[in-house]
Amino acid sequence: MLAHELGHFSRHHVWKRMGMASAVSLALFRGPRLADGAGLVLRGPGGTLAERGHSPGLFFMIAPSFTFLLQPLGSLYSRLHEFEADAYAAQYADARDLVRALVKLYEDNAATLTPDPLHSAFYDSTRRRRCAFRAFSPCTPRR
Amino acid sequence: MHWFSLVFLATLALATAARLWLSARRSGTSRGTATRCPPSSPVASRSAAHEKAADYNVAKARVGLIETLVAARADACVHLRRRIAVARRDLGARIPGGRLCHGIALIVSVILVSSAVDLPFSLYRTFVIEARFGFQPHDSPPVRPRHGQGRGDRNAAGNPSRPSGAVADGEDGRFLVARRMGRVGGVQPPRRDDFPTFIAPLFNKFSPLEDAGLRARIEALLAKCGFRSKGLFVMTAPSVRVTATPTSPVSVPPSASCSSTRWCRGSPGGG
Repeated sequence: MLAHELGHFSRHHVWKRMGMASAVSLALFRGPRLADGAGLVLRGPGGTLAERGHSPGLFFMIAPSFTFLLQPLGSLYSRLHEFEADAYAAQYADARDLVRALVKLYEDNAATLTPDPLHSAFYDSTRRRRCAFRAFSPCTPRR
Repeated sequence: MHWFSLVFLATLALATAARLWLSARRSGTSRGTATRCPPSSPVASRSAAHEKAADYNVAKARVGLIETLVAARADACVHLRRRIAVARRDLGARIPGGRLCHGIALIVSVILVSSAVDLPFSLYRTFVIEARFGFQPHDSPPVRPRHGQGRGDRNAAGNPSRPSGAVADGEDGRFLVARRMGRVGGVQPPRRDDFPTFIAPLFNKFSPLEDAGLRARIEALLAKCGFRSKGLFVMTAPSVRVTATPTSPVSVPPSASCSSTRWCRGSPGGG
């Protein structure tokens, strides 16, 4: 597990994710102008509700409803990083140790080995466990 | 009604329906496979653990369904004009200051209301459901549960990883409560890098890792990967003292800090 985490560090995943998050945030700054123009959160029955400078804050409170449907892409991106970290760990540590660590996590966290595939694809930021077990089985050549 | 309001309502309805549908699928799959541990897995013989995981997921999914509906209604109410208008009018009457103060107070109040909707569900998951299934708020998982589900699943409909916001990195229950309260107000306490460096020492005691064999194994792995450490420490919560287990397969004792920033602050290739 330590090797896995080192893999994230070694592959600069934190920086990549920060860059991605920054880019998405910048893109979303277009949203408040849309909402402003539409009067969604800025105007009420009595007239102007909030100043123009407040619209970003208000917009980002409703943004999760819009970005929810993009979540599978974020999960996919995260899974790619997890694959890279797993590959890194398998390169420097015994794959059987990785499997044992996964089993321990599975038991400690009351995780299920039989997730719904669609739910898993939508939400899971890591590979499905059975896939991981198979990938790290001793007969599998290390990457 | 303006077209953007219609788009917002449609998106909110679509997202809510998708959440409910995915939760239902997850719950149904967990329930349907509760007694059938996949034979290809290395834990096939541990059917009790598999059943426990299924029950845990189903219990959380039930709460998640209610939370989804409540949150959707709150979002629709808060953000569609009237409630904001009322809040604006009331705040303007009660809070002195100019437009800036009123605007800030408006945003803070909306955040507080939105977050307050989530807090009871989050506390219920942590202190009722997790306690029922054997998790304790002060438990320290042996390692940071990275092999889990993304945190985006706020409804945790069968979240197979450590539950959302649950204790990690050996933090004690007090910090967990602080984190929960921090969500009210939209403040997310720092987690990855700041936690082991600044927050954890406030609540935990750090002492050098004395197990020479384990230390040698960890340092060997670090060197093999091209890292170097500035020291290996055991993090002990004041109210929980867990003895180390040198035979742990993940090379990390349950009480050892997995604060990678302490271990691996050396630059790659620097070892």
